[in-house]
Amino acid sequence: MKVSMLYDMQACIRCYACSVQCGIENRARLSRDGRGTPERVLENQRPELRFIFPVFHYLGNYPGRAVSYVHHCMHCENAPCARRCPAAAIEVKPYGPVVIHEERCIGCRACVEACPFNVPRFAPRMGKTYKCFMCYDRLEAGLPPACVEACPARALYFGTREEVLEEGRRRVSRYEKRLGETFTLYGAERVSEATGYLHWVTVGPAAILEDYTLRPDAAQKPIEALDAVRTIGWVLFGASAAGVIGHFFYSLGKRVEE
Amino acid sequence: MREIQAFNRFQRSMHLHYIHFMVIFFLTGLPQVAPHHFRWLLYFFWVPFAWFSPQTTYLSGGMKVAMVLHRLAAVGLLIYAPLFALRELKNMGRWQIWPEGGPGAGIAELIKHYLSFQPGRFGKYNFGQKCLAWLTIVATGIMIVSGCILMFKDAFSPSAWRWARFFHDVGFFIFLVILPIHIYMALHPLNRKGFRAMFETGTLPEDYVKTHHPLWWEKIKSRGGGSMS
Amino acid sequence: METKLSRRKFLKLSGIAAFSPFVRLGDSVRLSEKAPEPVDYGVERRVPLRCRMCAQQCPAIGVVKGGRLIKMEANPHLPYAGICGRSRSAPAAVYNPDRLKYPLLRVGKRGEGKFKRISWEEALDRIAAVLKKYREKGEPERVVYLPRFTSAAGLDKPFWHLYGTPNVLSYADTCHSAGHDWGLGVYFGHPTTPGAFWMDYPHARFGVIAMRNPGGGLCVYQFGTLFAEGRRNGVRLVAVDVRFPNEAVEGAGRKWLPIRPGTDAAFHLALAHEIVKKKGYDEEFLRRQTNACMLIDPETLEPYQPEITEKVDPKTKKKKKHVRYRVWDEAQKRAVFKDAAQRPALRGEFRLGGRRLITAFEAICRALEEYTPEWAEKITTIPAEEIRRVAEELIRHKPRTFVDTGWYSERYANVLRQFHALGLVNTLLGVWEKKGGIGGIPKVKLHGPLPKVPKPKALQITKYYQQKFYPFLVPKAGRRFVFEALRTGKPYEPRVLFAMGQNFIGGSAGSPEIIKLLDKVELIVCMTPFMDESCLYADIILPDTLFPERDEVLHFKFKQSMPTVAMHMKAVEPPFEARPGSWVILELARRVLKPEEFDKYFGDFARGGWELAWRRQLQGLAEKHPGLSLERLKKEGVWYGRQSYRIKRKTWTGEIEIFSLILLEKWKKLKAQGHPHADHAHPLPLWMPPFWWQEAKGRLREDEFILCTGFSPLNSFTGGQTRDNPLLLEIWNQIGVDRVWIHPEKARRLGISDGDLVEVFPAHNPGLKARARVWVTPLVHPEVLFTYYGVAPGIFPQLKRYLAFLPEHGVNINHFSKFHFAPLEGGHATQDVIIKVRRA
Repeated sequence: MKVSMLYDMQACIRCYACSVQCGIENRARLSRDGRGTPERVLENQRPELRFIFPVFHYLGNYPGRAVSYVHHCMHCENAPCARRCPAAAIEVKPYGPVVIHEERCIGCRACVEACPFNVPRFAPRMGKTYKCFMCYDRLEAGLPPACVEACPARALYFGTREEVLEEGRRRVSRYEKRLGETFTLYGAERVSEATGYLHWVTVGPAAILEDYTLRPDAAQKPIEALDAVRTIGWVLFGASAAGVIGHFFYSLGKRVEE
Repeated sequence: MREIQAFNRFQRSMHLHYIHFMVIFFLTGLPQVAPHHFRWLLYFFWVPFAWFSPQTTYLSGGMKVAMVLHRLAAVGLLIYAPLFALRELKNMGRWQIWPEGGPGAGIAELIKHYLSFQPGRFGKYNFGQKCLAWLTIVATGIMIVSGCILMFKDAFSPSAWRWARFFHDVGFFIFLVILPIHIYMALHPLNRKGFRAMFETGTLPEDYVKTHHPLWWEKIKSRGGGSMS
Repeated sequence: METKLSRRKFLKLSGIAAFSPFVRLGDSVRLSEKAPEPVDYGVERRVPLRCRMCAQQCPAIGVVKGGRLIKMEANPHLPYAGICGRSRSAPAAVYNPDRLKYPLLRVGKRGEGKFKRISWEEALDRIAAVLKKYREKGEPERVVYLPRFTSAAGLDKPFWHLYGTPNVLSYADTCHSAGHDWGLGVYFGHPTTPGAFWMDYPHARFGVIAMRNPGGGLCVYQFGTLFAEGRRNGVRLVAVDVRFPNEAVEGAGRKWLPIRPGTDAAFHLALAHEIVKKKGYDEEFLRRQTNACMLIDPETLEPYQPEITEKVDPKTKKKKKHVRYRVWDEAQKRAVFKDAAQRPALRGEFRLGGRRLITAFEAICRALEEYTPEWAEKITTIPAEEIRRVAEELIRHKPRTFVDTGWYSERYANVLRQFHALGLVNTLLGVWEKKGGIGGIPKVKLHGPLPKVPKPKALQITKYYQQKFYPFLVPKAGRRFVFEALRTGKPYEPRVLFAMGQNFIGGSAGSPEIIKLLDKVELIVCMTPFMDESCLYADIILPDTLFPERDEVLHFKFKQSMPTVAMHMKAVEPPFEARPGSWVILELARRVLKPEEFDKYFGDFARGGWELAWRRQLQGLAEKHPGLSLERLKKEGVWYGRQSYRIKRKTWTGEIEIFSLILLEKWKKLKAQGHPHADHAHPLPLWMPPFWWQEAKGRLREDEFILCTGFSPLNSFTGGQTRDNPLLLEIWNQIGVDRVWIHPEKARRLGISDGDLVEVFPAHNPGLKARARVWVTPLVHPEVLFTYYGVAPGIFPQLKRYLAFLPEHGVNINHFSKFHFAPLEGGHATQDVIIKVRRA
């Protein structure tokens, strides 16, 4: 059984309670793990510990259009970050979430390069990269992720994949009926070869989704091309090795003229 | 017998160190480029390191050591390569790796040498060696530029990192394809004289040059002998 | 232990440290193989609280683990539960190292910020000595108490009343009083605070947001959750704002109409004009529920032969005026009392005994004639066709639509007119008390925690000003008149200021002038958990608790659609020597009051504590409100009743007065007095410009702006719990909460580029300067500098000494504004000054 999250851009009131709660939850985790007193962990600036964080900019000329939303890990089915992590620090849980293990991270930022949604945050002070792990400690204990618990607008929703897709489709159809515009449930289906479908789906107006980094066919082209490079590379290597070995046996059969 | 200088001391030392660098680059780079197949290499890096930091695993600790060594080797190369490049660029006009005749002829001579085991009409370098030299120059350039971007990530944007990562891989595979051939050819009994020149004496017997490198010999004669790079 | 040792070993190796430029080694952490236990394991208590990160007291739960508050949650027992990000950041405020830890006594000059630590005993004795002096002199009214985030609610007002001062003054005159309260209140006959109405967003189809951004000025229980439900239900929204309110109208089916600051009234008048012109008003509603049919004289506006009676309310013993008025009955073709009419005429002119008479609605329609959308476009810069489109949507969707009744009104001089016009639009549409429209807020009235205290006899400072110059001033909400009294000496000069959480300097327009007036004050006491502008001028600073560190009185006033009572219990111990206000008030009462007074009023509380006080509050309420018991409140934290739409009416006619008789009476009186601003009380729709408009003749110069503020959902007012919060600062930095927004074209002409540091100063006093970082963005009206409210030190950079997490730069409009008052209602009109900008 897979779990999923839903972010409803249309319902979100940009209060960023989710982001605050994520910071609080992660600080509580620090003190749980004996990495600071409950008081002490609260005063340090650790923006990388808020795995869901606000983005705020604009588009167009006056009167412009604000583009603000909470950015977060999409928990891709094919998790490009996990595929590229050389230290195997990123794990795809069998129930969906893509979990980064801080203790295994070596700070190489291969995941930052690979992520099609620009999610992992590298913290220079720690020499490690951080990203959402969908509160898997809470999930496994039967609690919803912290940000979902925090959302006063119910713009964040958590459940099994079936429940989440059903809720998402219900919202899409209601918005379409009331507002007469097309809405998308981004991530319900495969987004791209690189990502597969997403365990964090987004409800938003189809016309402006791309402004919120939710592109169709989202992928980091140079990084995804590495696979092809490597395949070609190993084939050529094989060919050259075969040539060498072939020539070696060929030479054994012939006396070398001194 | 008269010996003709093929490689000077500097070139030979450069070549030797380049081999050292390559060994380090390969040993530390392979687990990074293909972790699933070369993770076991990390154990060797991790074991001494684990004494300092027992919380790490062979994966995190070993990979970190591998990355450190990879970068240290890169720094070494960054010191060495420009010296070599500067010195060689000065003599660009006398390089023996410029084309001599078309690729068809070059390949025909190669076949003659390596399949019939008869001396081909080579210059100082045959067609294959010239290709190898140019590929090495290009690949080294790619590796240095992309490597610098990857090493000094903070000075570049993630999209630069991505392209750097891409070309670092491309460069790696160029080496991966050409190096086995290069090493094999170097070790092959046919080229025992060349091997000796590179690793021991720096010189080739005049006869050998006459028979095996006739084009080069002609050049030496016309210029009035002496060593040529 | 093991971890520590190996890390030390690790760090010793300087050789490895040398690698760090190439690979950052960073922190090494323990390896865990399985999912760790969530932090919720081992939680010992979940304590019902009311959040006080802003003033709205949303019911919450404090999660306590290891004796520490580790997080806040929404109270799950409520149907519209929710708390916002500020509330969620409460642990970061509670354990903030910048908290005031001990009572402090000023040692330097006022404003210098030099203090020394004293004991509570000394602090209380010093205060009590001064209080006693004024009581013995017979001048207790010279003591002024300014409560805001009070930690002594329920005890403080009785104490000060018992002490003898009526001057318990809130800060509402710097927020919604009384432009909002009376502008809308005239329709209902009493001042209506923002807590008087709730917008039924969940059932609405279309809403206009003006003067409130329900996402930005987020009050979660219930305004925020209602708004969010409306958004999930697909309500269409149009926001009229000086900046793009992304919290409210980003997304599909929503629109931002940029408006020139201070001209909302013109927009509303044009809407009313369109609604009348298109006959889009709700005729039945106007006929039945309002006094639209009232026959009046077109010249004097007086009602035609009304019957006026005065009754004494047996409960409150207050006199109440009742008016029966005449209408033109179309069935009988004559003027009769409304209750006798079969079909009262809504519009028309009639002749009666040689007199010309019109209906009140006719008068309104005639007054609206000149306010066309084209006229409004010139004033507001909103295109006329946009105004028409909004009016059409309002008409189409009525009654499941509204113009949001707004909140923080005291920004411009003309807000009384503005909210009067806003109320007119809603009345024309007939959306009051309708599903999908606007409801009134139901409350369960609780008893006080102490026995009822006699009212002091002395004249309240604000009452004096209400009687003299500001008839629409709400006396309990007028803290700036304390300083007006210092300035004029009338009715008397206050001598003692006791600010319980109020930042009367940073939060009031004209801060520099207010500071100058403080020389006449003998003792200034500030009680607060964090340093603020006012503390800099205090003689004694008392360290307050933050809300999870104290028990509190039961609370029943929420921005709610259903009556709610909520509990507040202590979750964690206060740090250092911080003490709750309730303890301070009790100790002052012990020292200042006569022993028999103390025993009579505070004795029970002193002996029985909050447990007894809570029981007193709930006495006898369980019968009327089933389930309302202390046991339930202690367990669940909340009790709530049935949702209701009814709005309380106290009008003389008993109807919603679209033609207000209160305004008529005041206007006539002011006219007769020759009051220069009499027309602000005009009973018919009327456009009045703001102060800046008169000063600039409607045209700002190139470098002139109106500095507008809006609320961020991550900040509230000027309290240290949010503006000096390490966790919130992190997010502020990500979205640039401390920046000043400026229009690209204006920026270009002034040579300012994005991210520049600028100097901001008022045109009337260029010496007052504050620095700010600019954001060049098309999300703001060209005549406006926008910044989130109260995030920055402004002209008091010395505050950074005490508040480490305060942003370095930023402006506070109150520091720049004038010490002026909005006509007739006494609001602080803080944005109504011209501001200039230049590169720093």
